[in-house]
Amino acid sequence: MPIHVIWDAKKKVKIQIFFPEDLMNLIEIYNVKEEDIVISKGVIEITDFEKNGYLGMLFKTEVVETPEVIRTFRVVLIDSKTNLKNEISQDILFFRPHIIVPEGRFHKMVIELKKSSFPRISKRMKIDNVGLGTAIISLSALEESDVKITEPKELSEYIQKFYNVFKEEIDHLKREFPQYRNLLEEYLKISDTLYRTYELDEKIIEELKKINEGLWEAFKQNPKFLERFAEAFLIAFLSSLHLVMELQSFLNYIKSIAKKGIILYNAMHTLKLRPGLNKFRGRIVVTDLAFNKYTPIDVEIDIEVKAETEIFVPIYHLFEWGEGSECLTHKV
Amino acid sequence: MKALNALPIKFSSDFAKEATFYLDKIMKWGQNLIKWLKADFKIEGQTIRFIYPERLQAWSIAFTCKKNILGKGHKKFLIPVKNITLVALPMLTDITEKAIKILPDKGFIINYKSLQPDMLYILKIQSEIENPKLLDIIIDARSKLDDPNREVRRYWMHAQLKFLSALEKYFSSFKIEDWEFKVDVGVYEDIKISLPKEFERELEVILEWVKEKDRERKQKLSWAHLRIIKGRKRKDILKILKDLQRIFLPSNFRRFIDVKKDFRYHDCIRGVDYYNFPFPTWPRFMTVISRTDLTLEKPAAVGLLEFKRSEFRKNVENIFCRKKK
Repeated sequence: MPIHVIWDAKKKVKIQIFFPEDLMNLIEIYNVKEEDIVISKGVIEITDFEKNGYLGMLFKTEVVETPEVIRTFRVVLIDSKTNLKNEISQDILFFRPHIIVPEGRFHKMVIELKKSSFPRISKRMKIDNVGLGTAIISLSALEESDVKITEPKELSEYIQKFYNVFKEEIDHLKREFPQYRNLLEEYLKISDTLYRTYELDEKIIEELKKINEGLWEAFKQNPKFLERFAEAFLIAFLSSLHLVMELQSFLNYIKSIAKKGIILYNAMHTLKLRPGLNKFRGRIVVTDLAFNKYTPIDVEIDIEVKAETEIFVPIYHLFEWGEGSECLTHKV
Repeated sequence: MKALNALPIKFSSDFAKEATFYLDKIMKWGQNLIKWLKADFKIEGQTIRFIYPERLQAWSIAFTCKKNILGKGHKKFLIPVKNITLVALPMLTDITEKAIKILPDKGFIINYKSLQPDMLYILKIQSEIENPKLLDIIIDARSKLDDPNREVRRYWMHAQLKFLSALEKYFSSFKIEDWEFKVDVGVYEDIKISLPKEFERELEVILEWVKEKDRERKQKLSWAHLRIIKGRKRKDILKILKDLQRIFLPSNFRRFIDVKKDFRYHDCIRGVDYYNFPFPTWPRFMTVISRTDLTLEKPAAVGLLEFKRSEFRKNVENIFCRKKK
């Protein structure tokens, strides 16, 4: 979190900063010499400046324990001549997503499919985000699970086509921007993993974070690269599109936005279930838009299927979103 | 420093040290240029600006001619340049065409025949900064989403110089122009909120219908589809989707964005979100690009980017011709 203070350069001042030390750590300070700063518990005192009239600082914020907390940040300017104090204070809201299972556990689920109707699902998995931050969640199956997650059949053609064009576009980019070759190759590598599994895990989140930072750095260095990178996505999309896929991709988009503050990563992937009792053993992996890691939620759930043949149920159908924070309802 | 800090702290001197090598090179480049000019001209003043998006150093040098050179041919300057302009004061007459010739390899020629005595000229020369990362060593820039519950979503933008006195040693006048700032503005929740529930259902029914092979079930789905679209004014789903895509065109999305304080709006593009692969087709974010300037006198800038969510939602709703409740 950056902070700066500007004052009349003709006035000589001392500055005291009061900050929440459990949530913030000073990592960079500008226009100040090492010998002119004293840091004690939650207080920074600066007695002189390289060029009077400006102080810049950068704090590293920690992931908060409670999903949202407001803390006060205070700056006190003391006139060195008159000792008069001028105080500025600012409340800062720290927030993060907080995914919970409101009922403490998941119940046995029953899925019934009659010949001429949509599957009727009772006791869906109830989860909620009671934090203010946006959570990205992904459901994955463990090896011991007798239910596996599969790619939606109707999307596989689109995904394949999209991915092939996308790879070609990235190759063009590598030639056009050889300085980002390694970065693009890493990006393609992780895309390849996601293309095959479409599941997030801790390792992938870690790698995504690294690549995300690398790409943003490159975009910052080279706006043309950002433009071309975004174009590569669009070209791949437009070349792989046909009528049904246009509808399908939009449905995927809206289904993945589960409720306010939850993005369901693999919403359209399906669980392949056979008639009778199915034991699903899996995990809900949670991250946020900055790729911070949160404790995953273990899922042990028995699913009883009342149908004549095996069925494929999209992941978004399995969840029920709680009311903990504001829901996505129309507010106009 | 007496410190009780959990993490090591970096000071201005650390950043100045990192930048020194490249600043020295820039200074050497400028000094060479001025040395060449001084032989035939009287230097009246000089400034430097850094132009961020193009990573250029832009020198402006004011000079008058020494009497002995007038009418005597030309002089070659063999330094790499990107752009060059020569203007004559007081009318700011651009005489580049007449007086300057850019050489195909590197450098340029000033034709002295086009210059006049007692006239003040400004030579503006732009050249690439050797290390494009230099400006990132000089500036810290970050953005932060304010309270996400607000109806107008606000993102704070902040840019500040990491050191001043070292820069002052190099340049008496220093400016970073058009520092670019990119903020990902989340649009996905507002899209979801604005979509009629029955539209989502309609998509599901259509896609079920396409997949379905059972005649009886296919007919049931057809009836279900007709029931859903009965109340809607616009029936053509593809046109609706096209109009939705159009909302993300920069010229359209611009209407929902306000950039305030020290920053100014520059452009926006569809955001790329990496975890969304392989469905990056419908943007969850729009990347908004804003710009600001920094100088030694104004070493920090704060901007506020506002996303007018309710207007955006109203526009999405209008695509479906949905009446407000």
